[in-house]
Amino acid sequence: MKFKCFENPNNISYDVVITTVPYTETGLPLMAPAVLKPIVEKAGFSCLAADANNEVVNYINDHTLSADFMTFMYDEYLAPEITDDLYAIFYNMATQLMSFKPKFVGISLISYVNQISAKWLTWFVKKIDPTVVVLIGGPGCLPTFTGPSEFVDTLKDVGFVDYHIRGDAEHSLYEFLKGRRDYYGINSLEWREFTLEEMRKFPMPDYSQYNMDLYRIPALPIIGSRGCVRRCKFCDYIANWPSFTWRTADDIVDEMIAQYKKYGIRNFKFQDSLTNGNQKEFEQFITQIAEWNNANPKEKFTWSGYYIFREHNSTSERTWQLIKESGGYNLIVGIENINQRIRYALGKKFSNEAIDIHLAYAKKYSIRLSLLNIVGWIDETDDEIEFIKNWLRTHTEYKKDITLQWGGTLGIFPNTWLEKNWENLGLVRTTHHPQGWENPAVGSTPEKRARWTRELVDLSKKLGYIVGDQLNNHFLLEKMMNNEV
Amino acid sequence: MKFNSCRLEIEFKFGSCRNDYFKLQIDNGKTVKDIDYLNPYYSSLIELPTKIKIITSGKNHRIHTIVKDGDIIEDMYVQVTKIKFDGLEVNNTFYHKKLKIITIDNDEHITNYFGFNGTCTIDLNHDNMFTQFLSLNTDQEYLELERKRVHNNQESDGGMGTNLKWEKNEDPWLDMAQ
Repeated sequence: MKFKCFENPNNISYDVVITTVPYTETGLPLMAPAVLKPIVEKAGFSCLAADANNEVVNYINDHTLSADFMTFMYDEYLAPEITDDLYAIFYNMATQLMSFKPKFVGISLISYVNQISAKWLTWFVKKIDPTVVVLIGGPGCLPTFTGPSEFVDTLKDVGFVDYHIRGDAEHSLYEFLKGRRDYYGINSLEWREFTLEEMRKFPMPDYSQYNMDLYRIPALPIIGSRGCVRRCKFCDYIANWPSFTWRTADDIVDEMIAQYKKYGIRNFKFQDSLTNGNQKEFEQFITQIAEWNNANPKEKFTWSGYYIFREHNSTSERTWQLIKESGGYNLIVGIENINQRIRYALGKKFSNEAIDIHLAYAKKYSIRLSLLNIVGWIDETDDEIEFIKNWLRTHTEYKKDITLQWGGTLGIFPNTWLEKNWENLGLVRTTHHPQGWENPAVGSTPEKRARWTRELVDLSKKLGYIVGDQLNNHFLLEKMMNNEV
Repeated sequence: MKFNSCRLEIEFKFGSCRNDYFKLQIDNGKTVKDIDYLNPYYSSLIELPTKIKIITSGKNHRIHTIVKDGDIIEDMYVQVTKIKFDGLEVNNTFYHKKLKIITIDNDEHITNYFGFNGTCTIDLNHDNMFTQFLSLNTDQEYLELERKRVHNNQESDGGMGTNLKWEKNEDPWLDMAQ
């Protein structure tokens, strides 16, 4: 495959090329290169922002042997049948990228599944030009957000990577390019969160070099906040962003309008962990966008993003109505578990009654909900799985209004509350893998949890629910069922 | 093409018997290098495709294997402990499943523990380090098993429904929870 994002017919040069690497299963543009491009330019350098991941995902999804590519992405194995195709991906990615003769190459990793690709892309890049400075960053560099990165340290030791930028790179990449190699977050464990004021002053992401026709989902990503207002016991995101910071509604709306005028796109996907963390700003946001939509019926915005359910009250319906009027299309809700007992235990304290009421309003206002579930909480039992099955049977009126995501079962990630307390909880780690744990007290094993997930997926489909499938979750569950986790 | 050249490094562990050690030579097709127990490490720039021969000699089994009550209590050996390409280490599968020594008596042993006089040939038949490394790194049995399981699960009603080929949702917005 040849990369459109690295086409260079006029032999142009850029000082800096920043790219994503596969494999991240998404039909949306990944933000990091577009976010960092204006930062690089502000520092006085020219920059190409590329989203190579998207083209590889499209290519693999259309390939007859897509599962074989996943064994490369996860296990670094090579199925002989894909040898030439896999080589062509990395050969072209590297040679086309290096045709821009960059002084710096930045690789952005959004998840650990990107590591194998990053490793080999950097190998190719350094083979082409050993003097190019390779920077690597993003949450995918680490098994979790914090602590040392064995992966990056190895790449630095063998000379494929020169600098690791940790945490948000808006400050540190700028300082790096200005010559401050000792700034927070550059080859160090420490990095600095944004203040509210800083977050509101960053330039808008620049997607001008992204080819929007190549995306399955024609939407622009946007960030409205950092951190989270919850403290869920399984969550490692809050370990990195302990404070909740947010942009004002005015600021977000200004960006949406400006990006629409620039790219003609009115669909936005919020990439932060929740859109309605600050309820006051959220109410203002949906009110302002609803006003725009009502005033501009031919230029309506739509948006999607993560959303938290709270206990319902007398204003709930008005909020849902405004979400609808503002173009809220698909809200992704970490409902985590249908069992109220488990939901409370893991840190999400809203009742089953609240779920029913929010579902009813969402249906009334035609707002699709994606419900994210974690199967196999630490002490979840067969009876509680039965409760979920019964819930599915009694809520089929919503089967066309919600998408159920059953995920890859509960993983225990470093720096989470669960990871710090697993011994006290009576859990036994069986492998280094996040899903590699057992709870002898209730007989919970990876195989059992994968089987529960399979049963819930099968039942959901049988009852006519829409079930979100992701290739990487399939791959993980297969391994769990085969006792390979 | 630059992608066919790399630095090959091999680390060994020597085991003595009666204070004698194997004589070890590495032939990379261009040069032959002696490796001894005092510096059990080989490093060379290589160009793919090529063959690497690890040649062991100097063992007399009547002298260099001591057996007591049916158990070997002392043995002269050379063990391959690590192989790296441009600093990247090949995983454990390779050492246990892909190294084969052919003894001077023409017997074959698949092992990284060489207790015989003979030659182990590592056939590096790819023309680039990327797929060569992956090929050595791959546990073919596991790969085939995985494919069968995926296929079986796909066929059976009780499976995960994993497709060898991914099927897109008709409405891409259904994939938004990513």
